[in-house]
Amino acid sequence: MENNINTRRVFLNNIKNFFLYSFLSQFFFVKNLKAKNVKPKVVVVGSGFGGGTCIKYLSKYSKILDLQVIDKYTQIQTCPFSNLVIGNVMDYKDITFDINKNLEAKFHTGQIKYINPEKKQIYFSDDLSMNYDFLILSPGIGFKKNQIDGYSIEDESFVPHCWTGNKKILEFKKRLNSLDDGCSLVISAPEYPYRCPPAPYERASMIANYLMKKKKQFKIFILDSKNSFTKKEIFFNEWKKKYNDSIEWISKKDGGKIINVNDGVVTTEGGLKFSSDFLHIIPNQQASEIFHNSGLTSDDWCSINPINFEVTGSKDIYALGDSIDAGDMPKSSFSANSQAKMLSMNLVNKILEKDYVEPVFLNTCYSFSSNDRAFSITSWYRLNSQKNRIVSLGSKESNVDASDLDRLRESKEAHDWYENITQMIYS
Amino acid sequence: MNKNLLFLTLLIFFRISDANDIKTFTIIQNCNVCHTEKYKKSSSIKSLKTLEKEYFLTKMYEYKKENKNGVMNRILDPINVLDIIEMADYLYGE
Ligand SMILES: Cc1cc2nc3c(=O)[nH]c(=O)nc-3n(C[C@H](O)[C@H](O)[C@H](O)COP(=O)(O)OP(=O)(O)OC[C@H]3O[C@@H](n4cnc5c(N)ncnc54)[C@H](O)[C@@H]3O)c2cc1C
Ligand code: HEC
Repeated sequence: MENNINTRRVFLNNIKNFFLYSFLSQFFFVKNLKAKNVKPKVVVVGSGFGGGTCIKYLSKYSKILDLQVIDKYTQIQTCPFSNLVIGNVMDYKDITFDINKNLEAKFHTGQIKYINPEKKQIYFSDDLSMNYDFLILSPGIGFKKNQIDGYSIEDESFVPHCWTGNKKILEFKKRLNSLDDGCSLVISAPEYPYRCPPAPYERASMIANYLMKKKKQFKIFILDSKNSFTKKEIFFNEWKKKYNDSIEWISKKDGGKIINVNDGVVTTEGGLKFSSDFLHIIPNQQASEIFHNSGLTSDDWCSINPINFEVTGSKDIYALGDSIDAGDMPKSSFSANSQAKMLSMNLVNKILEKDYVEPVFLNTCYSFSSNDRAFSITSWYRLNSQKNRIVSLGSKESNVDASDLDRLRESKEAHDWYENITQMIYS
Repeated sequence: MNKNLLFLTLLIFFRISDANDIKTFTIIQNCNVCHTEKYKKSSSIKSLKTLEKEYFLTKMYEYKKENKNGVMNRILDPINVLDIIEMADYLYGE
């Protein structure tokens, strides 16, 4: 035991020494760089939650690295809190941020088509290219094709999925606004894994919140490709309390998985048929196209080494956020932010030729059931003993029967978290 | 209570850093996503840096001990008292 305490004491000293050491090694490294006249070029693709956090962190190390950033947009519309925009609780402008260009980094606007890992070259859709020494990819998600007969993401006659940040949310709201009293809605929830596991159910709640405020009668059917979902008991309780039985969930085993859409009528695996006034399909997901186009994954998701986030089999390419297989970690902006800090810290360690630090991650996902009621789930994550997988230390949720005051308090905390994380990245 | 005694008493909570390979500053990196340095006056989440060490320790022990279901209680679940002391030392000096 004493030994243990001593080791931990030594640890504390190590932490203090870390800064001194960081400073000294940066100093000698910079001297060395000046002699060689090179700084490694670190290119970050994506200024969302994962990439944006990396940029914020790495821009503090401009003495030892040349930071370059690429995003296809100059403005970011976040997915977190987009359901509150759909529910008319927040304005579209409240979730839209300019990319912060006042950092020690060079910013480029352009869409990446693919990477050539051998040549260390990035190719844009307009055929321009850029080289890198270290590449960090955080481009969010992509969508699987041909999952439901008769449905295609590109077909604009369908309600837009709004599962990536873009202005289609305004079209979504317009269609929602045009619904009449007594309307029926169908939402299809995707198969695991996908971006933000509670978000389809939060979306159903915020649509219900909106329609109820407009004094419209409605019925929402959630047709699910899964047999369960996160925070299910809390959502059920909340739906009963707030919306009577206006939201009905049909699991995969009860025949909820949609297989066909024809003339607005959906057919499920169980042979059920639904015709609705508002059909909202949330497509099945996979890693962003960049990974598939560049041979950086042979699977749906990109596999990484969880110590430093290096893409399996691809030297000097790192990936984080929704496109990776992060073991037990859900695909959330909280997770992407946590991964970004660990990745950046260890990339700096690599550049400074120091040892990697053992990463530890946290995720807390808030969900809203109405404008003033929220609840959350939290878990810490670390590496397993073989150091090849991120594992959960056990998740904990808000109480199922929490008081109205607790739900209100968590809704304020959720807004404060969102305000803080977006300010941290974008200001 | 002296630190060794605390450690013995609360060994049961020893989970997050049990292999002694996770450093305090990596744990704190994860607090900073909510506890940012810049925040609105009305925010329910304050910067950790502006707190006094004693206040930090008192609040953290309270979160650990009380039978409440707030986000901080849940976050501290796998964090033991020695981790808390090290966090306080790291944030506010020994
Ligand atoms: C409805 C909804 C609600 C959500 N709510 C929450 C929540 O409350 N809390 C939470 O923690 N998470 C939430 N999420 C999840 C969260 O949005 C993602 O997990 C998070 O954004 C992942 O970060 P990322 O960096 O991987 O991707 P993103 O944040 O999507 O960033 C990707 C960036 O890459 C850029 N990009 C993409 N492709 C290219 C290309 N080819 N070339 C150049 N640039 C490119 C994009 O423009 C974008 O800026 C929600 C998601 C949805 C859909
Ligand atoms: C998901 C967001 C979130 C994360 C992550 C988080 N906290 Fe908190 N913290 C809160 C909220 C909300 C409060 C205020 C409400 C309360 O007392 O429960 C708070 C309060 C506190 C307080 C009391 C501050 C005061 O002014 O009274 C301390 C101390 C604290 N947290 C420490 C930490 C530490 C240390 C970590 C990391 C191990 C951490 N927090 C991670 C949300 C968070």
